[in-house]
Amino acid sequence: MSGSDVTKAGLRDARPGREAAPSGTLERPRRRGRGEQPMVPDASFSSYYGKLVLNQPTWEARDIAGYLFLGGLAGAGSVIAAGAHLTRRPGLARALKCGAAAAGGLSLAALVHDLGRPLRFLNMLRTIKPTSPMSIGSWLLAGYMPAAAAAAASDLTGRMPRAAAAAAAAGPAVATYTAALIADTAVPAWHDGHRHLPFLFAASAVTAAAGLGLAAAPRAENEPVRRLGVAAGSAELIIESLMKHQMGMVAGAYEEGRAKQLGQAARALAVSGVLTAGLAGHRSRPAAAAAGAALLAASALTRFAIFDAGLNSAADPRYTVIPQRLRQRQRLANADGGAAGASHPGRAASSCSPAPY
Amino acid sequence: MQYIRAASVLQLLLGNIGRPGGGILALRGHASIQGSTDIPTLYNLLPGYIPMPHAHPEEDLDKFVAGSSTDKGYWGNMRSYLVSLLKAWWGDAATAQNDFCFGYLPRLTGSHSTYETVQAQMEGQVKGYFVVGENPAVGSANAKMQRLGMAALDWLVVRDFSLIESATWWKDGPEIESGELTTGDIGTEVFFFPAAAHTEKSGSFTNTQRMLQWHHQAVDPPGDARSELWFYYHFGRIIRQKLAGSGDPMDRPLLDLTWDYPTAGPVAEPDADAVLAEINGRNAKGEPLASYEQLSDDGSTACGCWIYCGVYTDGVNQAARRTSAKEQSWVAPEWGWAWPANRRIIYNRASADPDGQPWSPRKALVWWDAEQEKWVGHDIPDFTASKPPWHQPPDDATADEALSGTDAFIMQADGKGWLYAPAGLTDGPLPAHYELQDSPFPNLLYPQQRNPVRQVLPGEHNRYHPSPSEPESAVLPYAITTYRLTEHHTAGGMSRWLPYLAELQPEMFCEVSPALAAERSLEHLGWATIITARGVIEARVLVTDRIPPLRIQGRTLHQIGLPYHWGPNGYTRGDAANELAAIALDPNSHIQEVKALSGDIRPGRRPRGAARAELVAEYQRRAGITPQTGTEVRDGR
Amino acid sequence: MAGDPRLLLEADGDPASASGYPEHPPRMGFFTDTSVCIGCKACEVACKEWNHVPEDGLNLTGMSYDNTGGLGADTWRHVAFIEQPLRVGPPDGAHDGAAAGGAGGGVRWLMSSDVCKHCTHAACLDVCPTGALFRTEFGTVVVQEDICNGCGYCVPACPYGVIDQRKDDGRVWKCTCATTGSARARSRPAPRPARPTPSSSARWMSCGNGPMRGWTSCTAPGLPTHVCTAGTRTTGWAGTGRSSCCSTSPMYTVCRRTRW
Repeated sequence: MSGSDVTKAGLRDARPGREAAPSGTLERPRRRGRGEQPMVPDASFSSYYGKLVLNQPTWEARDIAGYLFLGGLAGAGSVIAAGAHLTRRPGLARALKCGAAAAGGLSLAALVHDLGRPLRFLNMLRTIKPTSPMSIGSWLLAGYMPAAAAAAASDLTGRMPRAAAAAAAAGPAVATYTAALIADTAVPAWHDGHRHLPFLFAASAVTAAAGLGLAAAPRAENEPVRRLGVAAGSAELIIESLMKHQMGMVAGAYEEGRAKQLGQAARALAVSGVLTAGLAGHRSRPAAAAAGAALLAASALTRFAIFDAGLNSAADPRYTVIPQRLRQRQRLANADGGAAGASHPGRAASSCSPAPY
Repeated sequence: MQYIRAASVLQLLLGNIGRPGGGILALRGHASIQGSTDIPTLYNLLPGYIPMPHAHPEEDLDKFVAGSSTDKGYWGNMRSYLVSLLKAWWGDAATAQNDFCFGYLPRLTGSHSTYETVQAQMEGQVKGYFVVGENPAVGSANAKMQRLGMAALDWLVVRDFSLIESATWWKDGPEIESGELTTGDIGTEVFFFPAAAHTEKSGSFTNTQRMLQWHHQAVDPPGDARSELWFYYHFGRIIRQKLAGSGDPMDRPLLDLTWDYPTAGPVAEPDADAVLAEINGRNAKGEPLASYEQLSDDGSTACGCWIYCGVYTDGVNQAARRTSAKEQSWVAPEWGWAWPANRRIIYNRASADPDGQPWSPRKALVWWDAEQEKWVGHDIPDFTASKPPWHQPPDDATADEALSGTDAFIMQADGKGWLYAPAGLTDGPLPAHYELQDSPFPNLLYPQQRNPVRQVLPGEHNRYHPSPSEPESAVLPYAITTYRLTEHHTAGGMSRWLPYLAELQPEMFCEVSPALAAERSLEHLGWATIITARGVIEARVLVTDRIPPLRIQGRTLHQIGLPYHWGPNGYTRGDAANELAAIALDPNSHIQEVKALSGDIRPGRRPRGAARAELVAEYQRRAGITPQTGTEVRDGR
Repeated sequence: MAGDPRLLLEADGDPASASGYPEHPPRMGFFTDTSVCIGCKACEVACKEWNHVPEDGLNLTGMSYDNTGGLGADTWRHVAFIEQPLRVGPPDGAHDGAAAGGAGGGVRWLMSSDVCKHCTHAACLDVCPTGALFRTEFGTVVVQEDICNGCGYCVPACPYGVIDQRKDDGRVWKCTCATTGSARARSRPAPRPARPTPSSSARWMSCGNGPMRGWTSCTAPGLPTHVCTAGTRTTGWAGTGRSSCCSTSPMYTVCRRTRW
């Protein structure tokens, strides 16, 4: 009840009310919760009625995971194409320049298609915002796409031979900025892998471009992409494994549903692509083509698997809340110097278990 | 009723009446419910709680006043209040020679409460009915009887914002669905008038603390929607037009009415301020009055409601005042206007001791100032300002002059607060605990199960449940409690049609404990059917710990919680809880007992068509219910 | 150029200044006191009416009295309801007349009104590539619907699951802090009552007074949305003057406050 005194002189000492006691006896929960900080998350976790904490990404897998693949392919393809150009491997160079331009064009189509208001795609260039990977990426693509197209055109027409250099200069950024893009969200399966994702995407992009090279270039010219395919394909497998290991329980999102299936397929294809390229890619054209196709598919499926894992992790509140609690408990434990029984004014509370009061 | 009386007794014993922080503030049903009894929509009251006269032969004004007023206390001035009211209504036609047109007032021939009227409708005694801002087909006890009553009328007028259930029962009500009524066979002619919302008209609200607050029209009502003021004013105008020139004395009460409110605007909206001014009252010179103490019984004053006298002091609409809290004391006397005379706490003389000083310096409200020789304080004293605390009245004093300087309860004949009420109540002088009409439990305090003078309306459609001493009462073993939700309002006419409110509570539901859900195989978010001797409804199930089982005398009693807002019309639709309720009335207020009753619940949706009534009949049989069940006046266990 | 990089480096920036409003009004914050929230949902309805947010589905959720579900493109205020069983003292079985079975010790019914936090470091603002999301001079974060092209990047970026896309529209929508009504507030300094108001949960905090008792900034990374601090669940955010939700909150649950 709120209280105050009404004297002849007027109102005095108005006091806000305290919370009314609810029905039943309210016993102050014993303070054991503050003293002992269990390091293992609650076995009986539940969020607010199991509802999502985050909103699900509105992106279509076909458009955005597809773009991750195509963008990586294009960016890495331009770099390798420049290398092929410089080392006088015209077949390889042409295949990759045209491939990069085509992938770039498809990328653009996919991105515009995924917009809620596609006709407003040019608004991407209204401003440049360093905090937004998508803004940086839009400008990158704005520079890269024409350069890649020019590179392909120059390869076909013989004019403007330096166009490939511009595309190659932007290539690495184009291939990896998408990792920063998806990692800079609250989606646990992406964000928690932010240290590894750029390298993973780089490796995956090189895998794809190398795969394209293996599939499309003459066997005589495919030595560099054969080695790159083996190296990048292996690197992709290793980095992905490292990333999931470091993620802790969030890695579980990669082992659910379609993400799991796609991931398994991607790994299988990567292994077979690496082996085929390594063992037979220099010996026979069909083997090279097969290796190339496998590596391309592996890269694509990897992106789709990562995309789906992200959706999985956003869809289950466990992936958001439990790591947060673990981090906070760790922080509190560090702040207390590990001593039990410290009182800290802030404490995370499960929304469905009795809170300290 | 018993609770309110018990609370009053308790607060009187604790000395908590008339003091800051004391009193009893009832949580009312809607924004102007107090106003609806002050300027009453009740059949047995005139404005200001003057009783409505009964059809006694040869009861003139004086006899009526003698029989209704008190010798002492402010009701001793009833004649002044009544004459002033009659002058307000009949103006110059009301003179001392004709008893101020006292004979023009309609007379009661019995109890005409809403439920007895429904019964009279079903017996063919009522020709026409106005349903204005109410939805009895959902909001009144025994919804079926409400509709059957309306089906027996010649004509029905409904005024509301939307086509509420009480306007469309004749074509899509539950009896049409079940086949008990056929649209083509219903003889009632139904007129629907769209109504203006409170933002589309000016007027007042009177809330539970007796405060009048004016609301100003902000926008014009859409289309054909009109305010109640417009409707009744023009209705009266048209009737008077048609009766003009009539020589029949029966028409004089209508033709002699003062009906000259100014109107304005394209639809000729009557001026609400003018009505308020009439309610406030005027003296013989037409000047606005400031206090009910100025009212006289010689016809020189007119006042539409004596307790509201002062709301238009100096010709200013006091109810429209909006002085900010920062510019006045915490009592806020300049926000709106409270009756009587802007006294914010009634009987506040009781906040001071017999010597006129506050009982506690920390609860000072009004006190006697010896220098100024009057009562002063934070609130306007609810007392004659100049009457000193030590005043003793002469033996022959009457009305308010008969009250002493310590008689704080100025409306009571003896100026005292009554713990024991020897008169004025139908049931008894002290509150007592009675069980509900339909209760699964015996009365643990007294041998008398139910209030012996409660009003029952026995009838085929209003069967009551057996007493708990009878074994058949186990057929209806659970306690149903009805309540309101924040998101919806009463019978839903103002909330179930609005998408923003409908989405907050989108379906009719019942609330049961996990134990009851287990006992009756009810699933969270599943369907349940709830049955009483009157009807059967369906509702979605919410299993919750907030409606716990009770343990009484070694037995577990399960509760079923039911919000009562839903009906079959609107943006969100559902069955009405009042299909289950019987009509059993408190003897003093004639208010229905619907807050709690007994019943049964089972999983699944309810039967449709003829099977619906058959299920109810089956329960009546199993429970051994007869026309006499539950109608006993005196019963033991 | 939008999005000052200094914000990336400073822990507690002055976001309005950093967004190009050097002479800005005092930064305001909403203090939602869940210890007095009665779950009336006036804040939800007022917000919808004021901003013409569409009704988004008649859906009995079974989540106590919360049929709104959560924040999204068509729900900018969401009142959560939690029924929390209480523990009774020494358990000795039920007494006559006391609640029996079920929870045994009764239930505590908690309500909490959730809304966009208009974060100091707003992820949605940081990632928006078109500049549709911007920070106003009051420190609020608002979407310009004539610029947003529905790229959807802000949606997974928000750690509180606030902003979302309207499917039939393509653009994203979220709480605007009802900035329409704020022009009046701009011309007045934030009022500070001479004494605390008796019945409301009013606690005026001006910048520099330090955190409230037990408050932990909601924008600190890694923390869950609601930090239960010594019995007062709070969500704080940067906002402005009068807003539709605070204007209708009958218990002053949603109060306009100066940010800590």
